[in-house]
Amino acid sequence: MSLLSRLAAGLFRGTLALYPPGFRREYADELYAVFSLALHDAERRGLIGLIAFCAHELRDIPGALWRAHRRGWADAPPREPVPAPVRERRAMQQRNVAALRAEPLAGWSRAAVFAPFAWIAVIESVGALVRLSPAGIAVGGVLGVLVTVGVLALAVAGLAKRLPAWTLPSLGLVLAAANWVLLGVLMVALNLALNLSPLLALRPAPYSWGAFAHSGLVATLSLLPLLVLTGILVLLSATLPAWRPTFRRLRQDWSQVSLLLYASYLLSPAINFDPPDGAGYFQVLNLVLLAAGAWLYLRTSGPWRRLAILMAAATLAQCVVQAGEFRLYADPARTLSAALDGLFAQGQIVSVVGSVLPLAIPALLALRPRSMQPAARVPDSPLA
Amino acid sequence: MGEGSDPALPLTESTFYILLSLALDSKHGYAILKHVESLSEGQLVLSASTLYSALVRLQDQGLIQRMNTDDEAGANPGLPRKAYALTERGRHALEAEMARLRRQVRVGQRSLGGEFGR
Repeated sequence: MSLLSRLAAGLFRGTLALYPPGFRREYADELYAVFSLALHDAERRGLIGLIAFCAHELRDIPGALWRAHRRGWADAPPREPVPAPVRERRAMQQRNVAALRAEPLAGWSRAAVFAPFAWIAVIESVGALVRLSPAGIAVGGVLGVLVTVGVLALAVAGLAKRLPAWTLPSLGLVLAAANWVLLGVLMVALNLALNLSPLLALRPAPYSWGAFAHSGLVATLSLLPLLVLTGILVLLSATLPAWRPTFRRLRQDWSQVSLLLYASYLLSPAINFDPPDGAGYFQVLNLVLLAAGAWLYLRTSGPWRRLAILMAAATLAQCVVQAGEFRLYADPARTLSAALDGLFAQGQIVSVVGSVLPLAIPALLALRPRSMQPAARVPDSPLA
Repeated sequence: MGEGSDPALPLTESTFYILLSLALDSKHGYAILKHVESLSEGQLVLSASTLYSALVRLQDQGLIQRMNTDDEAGANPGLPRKAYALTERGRHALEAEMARLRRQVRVGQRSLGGEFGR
């Protein structure tokens, strides 16, 4: 057996692991045996025949995997009738979970949700306070330190207490800050290694599909480190035994992970308005819209409705930032029509959509097999 | 049997050849693979993954069945130990498909006439 044949056989055996467990149990050995015989045949036809065979097999694997998984999903509901005691227990669990979802946050917990919003408000006001008088420097400095310590403490508490909902925005803000630092380091490292300057300087023609794709892609990719960090947190909660209740809670209401990501939009004005002179109105409006989204989130139940609220608020807030950016920097005439024209010409509207789409990624947690439904009781409330 | 009577109809090309191959006798996966290639005169070469997707689907549709073979004892250790056979429903579907194809050819010949009309 040639090296290529051995490699192909090894790769094919590896892809068998990607089939659903039921299919693997029933057909994997048989499928591999047939593949091996066909591979042996192809080997006799020479190198070209072998390469053609491998290409043919490789082409068909994704489709076969998709069909096998689709069949697995269709078979997912249990075929055997569920015994009455089990049905009653499940109904009771569902009632418990519903009651926990409806439970409002206590006063301090509710205030904690808005800590990052307060942090932004204070940090954006510090500059004005400092300019006001010498005493303002001290007041602004103390306030800034206090709210920063508060947000950091909430983020640490979030990790220590296994991600209660009231710590998620603070943790999200810290992760968002880490996102921009990591992104900067990553870009510098990539640029040094691969010289990305020509790629970064690429500016597709206005009103072109390229401009729209470029804007959307850049907006989504700029949140990649945050998505990876959040993914690691969720993965840890699924892996560590002590964090399993957290993982169950996040899957019951995955919009809590969206709430964590939502905090990242608080940093958009600080990143986009550089220099910040004249951006005050846009900063305030962005903050008000995001805070209103968080407030409505807490008053709503059901992950899909909550996601819709977060996405709507984030979209509006991002539109404000983009409009402000054009108004301040890209529009010499500083007219609204020119700003709107710029929004469309450069694909900034797509950029808004691209930056908001990651909020929906936690919905993937809803795609769970039935056997992974929540266990008997949920130790801590989804909202507290 | 009309087309509407079986949801499996009309058959895809690969399904048609797999059923045709099993109409003669039951076969292992690899034998089906080779027979389909020869029946279609080399026009249809199935990959192992596609073949098994089709075999699983056809079992779900009740057109074929999977069964143990004498190779269980290990007389032919290189070959898979399961074989596939056409069910009664599969045979009906195959016959219905052939009738459908014949009808299409007849209509085509009648419409075009000339050398096709012979």
